[in-house]
Amino acid sequence: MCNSFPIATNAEPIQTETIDSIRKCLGGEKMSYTFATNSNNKTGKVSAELIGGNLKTLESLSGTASDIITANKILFTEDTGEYLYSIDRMFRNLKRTGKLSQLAGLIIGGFKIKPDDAGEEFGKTLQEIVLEKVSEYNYPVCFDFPVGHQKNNFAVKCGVMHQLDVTANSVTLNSLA
Amino acid sequence: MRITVPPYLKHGDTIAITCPAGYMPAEKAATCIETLLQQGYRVIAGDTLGSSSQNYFSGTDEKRLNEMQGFLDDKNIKAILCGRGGYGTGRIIDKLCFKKFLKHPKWIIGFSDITIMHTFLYSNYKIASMHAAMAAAFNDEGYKNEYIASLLAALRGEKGNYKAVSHPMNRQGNAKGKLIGGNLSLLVNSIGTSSDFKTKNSILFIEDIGEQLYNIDRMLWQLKRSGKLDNLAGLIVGGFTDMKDTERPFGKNIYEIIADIVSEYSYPVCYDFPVSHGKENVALKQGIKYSFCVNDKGTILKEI
Repeated sequence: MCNSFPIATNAEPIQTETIDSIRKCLGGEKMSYTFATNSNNKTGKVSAELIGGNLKTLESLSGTASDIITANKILFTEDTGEYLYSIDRMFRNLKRTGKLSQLAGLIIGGFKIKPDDAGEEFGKTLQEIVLEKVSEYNYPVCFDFPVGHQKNNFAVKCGVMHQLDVTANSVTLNSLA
Repeated sequence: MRITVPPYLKHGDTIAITCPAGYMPAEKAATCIETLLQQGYRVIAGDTLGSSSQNYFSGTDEKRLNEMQGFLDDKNIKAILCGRGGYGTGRIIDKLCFKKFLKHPKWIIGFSDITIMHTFLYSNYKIASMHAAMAAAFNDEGYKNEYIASLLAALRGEKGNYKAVSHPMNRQGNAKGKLIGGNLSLLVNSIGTSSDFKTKNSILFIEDIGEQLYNIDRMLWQLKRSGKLDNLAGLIVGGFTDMKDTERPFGKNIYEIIADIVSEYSYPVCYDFPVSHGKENVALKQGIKYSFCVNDKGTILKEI
């Protein structure tokens, strides 16, 4: 958004790249993002519509006119400033509202996690929290996708067909339009 | 819709204590256990109380699930008092089997994270449950106060009759309806799930702790946008304790946030009702019908 735009002379390359991705999206280019693998990824290749956004906001849409339907879609999500227990509770909400059972794929973006208070250590990592929710499903899952409350927050086209390819060596997300 | 009311407790009945969510050291429940024993009840404390868990939870999901399941199934146990909330009930609730419990319903007692259990029982099985203080509230002389007294009276089968002082922002009126509610964060977390709940013609009560004002606003908007505020009989606003604000202020206090959200409706609304994460926390029977009267003298919530 506007507050992601740095003063031109101070821009870091990743910021320039992020902002350039908005220009390319708006200009109608098909986007292609390739990034490093995470050992927790689940491999697979799918083509489907992309949907998603901030996890807390997705949860707060449940039951409202803005609620999302995730069946046969690639869902991406990110969040910032939340405790691990709260992230777990939100992913439980996605699961209990049936939003994880019929996905084509799941993309986990950046999560800036609020550190646990002393004596309240949650005992599970973000990766463990996500993987236990989707262990019964076979669709591809990737972590560390460059979208979130961070400098590497690349533009993605919601509602557009994408191909997600998670392999042992890398992850690629291509927009098909 | 008929509500099943579990049998009230008699002298010699057994109350089981379990921790379905966060970790609780055993010594923090000692006064609670002692008080219940003095009341003439038997008490069974599950292994999840003062467990060997090394993390946030009182035990693994499996351990918490099995203990709750065992207590639900055991017909000699007449009430299950949750030791504390925190977070974790939602991780096990869909795996619980209520088959035996339905044959021998019993009171489930707790609040905060236990809200998800109350709405689940009400929505799926039409069984009344008790939103009330948990084990730690007995500490620091708590066992002598009117709030613990309200829990003990409720367990004996006495009808609740609570008064709250008038608040300048109250909206006056009289209503009757089934009582439903709990912790706002958990209520919105239930929407769209198997613990989702209907509020039409009901008296809704809400409370929360430690949230940002903007987040409270967002949660109330979710209730509103999901249709849960428009056909209420009345709204009871409990304690919103330890609220936080952003560096650039939200611009409304908690009372203004709520008053704005319900300004288009005409049902009675009261603020600062004694249901909260603070000391003030009266026992409320979920699913049971109450009369709710808000006038210039104050608020009366009376079980019918």
